[in-house]
Amino acid sequence: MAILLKVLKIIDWLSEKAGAVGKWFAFLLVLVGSYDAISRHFFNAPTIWAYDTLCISGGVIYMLGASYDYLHDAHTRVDLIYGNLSKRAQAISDIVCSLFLFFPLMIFMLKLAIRWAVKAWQIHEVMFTSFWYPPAAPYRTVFAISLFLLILQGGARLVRDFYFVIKGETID
Amino acid sequence: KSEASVAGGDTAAKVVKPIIWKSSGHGPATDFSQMYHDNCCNAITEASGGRLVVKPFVGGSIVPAYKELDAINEGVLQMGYTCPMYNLDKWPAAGLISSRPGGLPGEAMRTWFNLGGGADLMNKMMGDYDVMTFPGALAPLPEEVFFHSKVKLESLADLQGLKARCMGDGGEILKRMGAATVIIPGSECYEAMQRGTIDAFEYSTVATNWNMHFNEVAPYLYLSPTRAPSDPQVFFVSKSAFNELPADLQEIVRTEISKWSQAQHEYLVFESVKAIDKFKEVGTKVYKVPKDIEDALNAEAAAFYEEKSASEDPIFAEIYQSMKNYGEAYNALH
Amino acid sequence: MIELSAEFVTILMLGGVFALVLTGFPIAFVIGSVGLLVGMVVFGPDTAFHIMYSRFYGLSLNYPYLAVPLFTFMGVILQHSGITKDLYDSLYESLGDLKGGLAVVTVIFGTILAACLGVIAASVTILTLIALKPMISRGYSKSLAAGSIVASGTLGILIPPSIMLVVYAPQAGLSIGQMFMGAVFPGLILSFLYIVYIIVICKVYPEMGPAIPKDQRTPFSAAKLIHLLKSMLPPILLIVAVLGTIFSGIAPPTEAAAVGSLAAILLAIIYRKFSWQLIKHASLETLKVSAFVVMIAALCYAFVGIFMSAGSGDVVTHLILSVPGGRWASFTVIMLIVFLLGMFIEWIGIVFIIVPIFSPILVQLGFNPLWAGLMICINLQMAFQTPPMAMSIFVLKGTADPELGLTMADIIKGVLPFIAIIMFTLVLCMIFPEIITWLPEKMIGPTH
Ligand code: NA
Ligand code: NA
Repeated sequence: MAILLKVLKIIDWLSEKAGAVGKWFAFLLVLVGSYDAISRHFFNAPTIWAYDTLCISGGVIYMLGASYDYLHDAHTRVDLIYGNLSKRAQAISDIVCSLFLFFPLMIFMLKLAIRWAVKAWQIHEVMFTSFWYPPAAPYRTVFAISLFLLILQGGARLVRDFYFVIKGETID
Repeated sequence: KSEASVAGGDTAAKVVKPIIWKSSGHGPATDFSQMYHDNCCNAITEASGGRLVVKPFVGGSIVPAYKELDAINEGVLQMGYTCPMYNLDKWPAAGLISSRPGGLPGEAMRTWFNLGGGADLMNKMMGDYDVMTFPGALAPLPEEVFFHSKVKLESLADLQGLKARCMGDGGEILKRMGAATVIIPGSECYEAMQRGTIDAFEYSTVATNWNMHFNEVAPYLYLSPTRAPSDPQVFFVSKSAFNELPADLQEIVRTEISKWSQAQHEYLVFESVKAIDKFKEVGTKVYKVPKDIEDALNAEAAAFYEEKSASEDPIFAEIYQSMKNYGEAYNALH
Repeated sequence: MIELSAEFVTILMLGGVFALVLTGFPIAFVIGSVGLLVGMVVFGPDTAFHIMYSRFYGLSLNYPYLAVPLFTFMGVILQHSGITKDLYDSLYESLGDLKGGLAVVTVIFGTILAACLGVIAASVTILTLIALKPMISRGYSKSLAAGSIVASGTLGILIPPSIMLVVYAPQAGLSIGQMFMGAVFPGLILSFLYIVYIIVICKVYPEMGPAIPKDQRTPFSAAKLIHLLKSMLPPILLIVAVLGTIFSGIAPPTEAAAVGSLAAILLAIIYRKFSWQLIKHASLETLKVSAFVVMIAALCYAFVGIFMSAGSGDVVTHLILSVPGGRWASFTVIMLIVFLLGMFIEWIGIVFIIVPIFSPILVQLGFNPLWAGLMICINLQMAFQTPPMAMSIFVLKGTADPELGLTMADIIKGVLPFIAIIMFTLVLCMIFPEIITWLPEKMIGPTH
């Protein structure tokens, strides 16, 4: 049990870190967007890198935020019925739903994300919305890692729910 | 009675299950190339007597717009109609067979592609991807719009610091020439012009641009065959899906694609001629780009592509040289 | 691969989502899984995976969606700079004599916020934090308090700047600027009707919104006026920063949200509320909110890819065009479908499902595209307030102090009259389409 608890804590820590790292990209959005606007308007010097930097930063925020939100149960639920269930019934419902509605979807997504990340490194894929042409591989890699973290967090939550249903108390 | 049932059985045997293809344009639904793509799909279905049903989809409805070729390679689509440029995420050389400075104008582009080895070079570029094209599959849309502009361009000096929205290689080359190239999505062009975020921009063809009401935000329309002499759209087909077709259906696919590509080219040339008149009617000043800007752009473009030929994969230089040689021979003809 | 009729797939997909979101499992994954499952059955696994992945990946890099993190960031900074609370207090002092005055103030304040902020969570969060407790503690009915917060907070998504209009316009091939202009009068009319409703209902049932007791009133004075004006200055500055940035061409709409965020940071510095802690907090909140919003959007976008390729779009189109009774009947059916979808699906998902289907139909039926687009957007406001999937209600419930004892039933009861007002406004805009089209035509040009 001690080892299991330790593994859960490590997964939680990873999700926390994903949020902690990802959050700086939100501040980066503000800085880059303002810089581009000011530089273009007041100094007649538009950047060619702001557009892609903004898009990629946005993607990093959403993806790294996915496992962080899962850890903090921040993904929106329709709690009309769920909210009135007992803690135990909620845990059972979450176990069943995550087995059918979470893991298959996310594992297939991860599989493709890895395949495309590898391919992006191999073919030197670039993003071509602008003529800055940044490489796509780093973002594709972050995308795959984020899905991996999300699946890990989903696993941690599943273990916790199982433990709660069986033992009637939280593992932590 | 037994005869009838035999005959019935015979008919049933003849009704083979149709082959279903999915094909996507790069849309929106009202875009000319999307309309011709849809027409082509329906024409194939009809010409095959329903044996090959090609279902047309608007760009972005199945996979995100511009990702059609990847989807064909993955077997999600069997056919797609897109601009080669949208594949320079995989092959930098795809940008050459596109609306780019120093590229080939309409007729030259089409004849180079069909007879001068263009289609073969493109297939070579796509290598082991499960995607192919063939002669007749390219429509060089007339893309003679240089800029919609608020500023009058009288000489090369007017380009200095001009805040111009310009994507692709053209944007990079104009930046090297001193323009302040701005990168914003096409959907924000109208407002960006209106509010002074930018002074000039390029976008699609005059025919499309007329429908976008750009006369409301730009008093000048500049035409030139230098920044984007043509804007080729190409039909791509899944190699494996195509090879599985019986020979007569293959021929139908080739014929219909060729027919609709050519029809779209002609239609757009005609629409562009009309659109220029409409722009003039509402008071837009339609000008040719000054000669010194054109010369400087051609020179800068040549330097730019020579540099790239040296640094990119050999296929880049091969396509560039082929187009360049063909262009020179074509010009000698006129 | 199994042959399923497009009609069956349509029912399976929409019904599947409707039924499975009620399990309470995060809706992003429910929508994505239904899409994947149906896609696997209809197209085979490989095709389905590719559609799902490429659309999910594609949306994660979408430029217009950057407004979600940027406006959220701005909202959080604003919320912690204290300037919003000042404004509320002084507005209350000015209108305290009126029965229902606090609720009226909430709507006015919500309208001002709506002109500053473009995403839903921000407005409702701010209103809940500063207006809920004062109302309930002064004896207001919980329903009226909650209803006025939810309804006026949701106005933020209609009155420009608005992420909903920013997402909607390019999808429908409309100008964002024209949509912004078109939304101004419907938004103000809604705001006005909300106020009228509150005043009338509190006149009839004074216990729903008691006025400030006589002994607590202070006479109107120059000092009070100066305080009011002073407290209105920061939000006005922010409006100028955001709208001014857009309208003077300093930045296109999405980037303007970045400039707005920078302006909010400057205001926080001026108000001596700035710290690195604040930046960190705002950044993390931004990540938290935008991750779940865009996760839903991305998986909805993937879902729609399957939905469209399975031919379900044609099924809906056919359904609408075969309604007897002419174009207005078809239009009414469209509005009804939007309302019904709005009960169950997040607005972003609805926009992605309906725009590709409805825009061509509306044009085909001869409606002005801008007018029709805004009718749908006004309609979509209700989606935020109708359970089971009601984003504004969730945000209110999530932000409200539990000690206030606000129940879901209180909120829903309070929201219903405001839903009726939105419906009434839609009818108004059908009778007088100029409410929508006049301003954009005046300011920008022809709308068709
Ligand atoms: Na707003
Ligand atoms: Na709803």
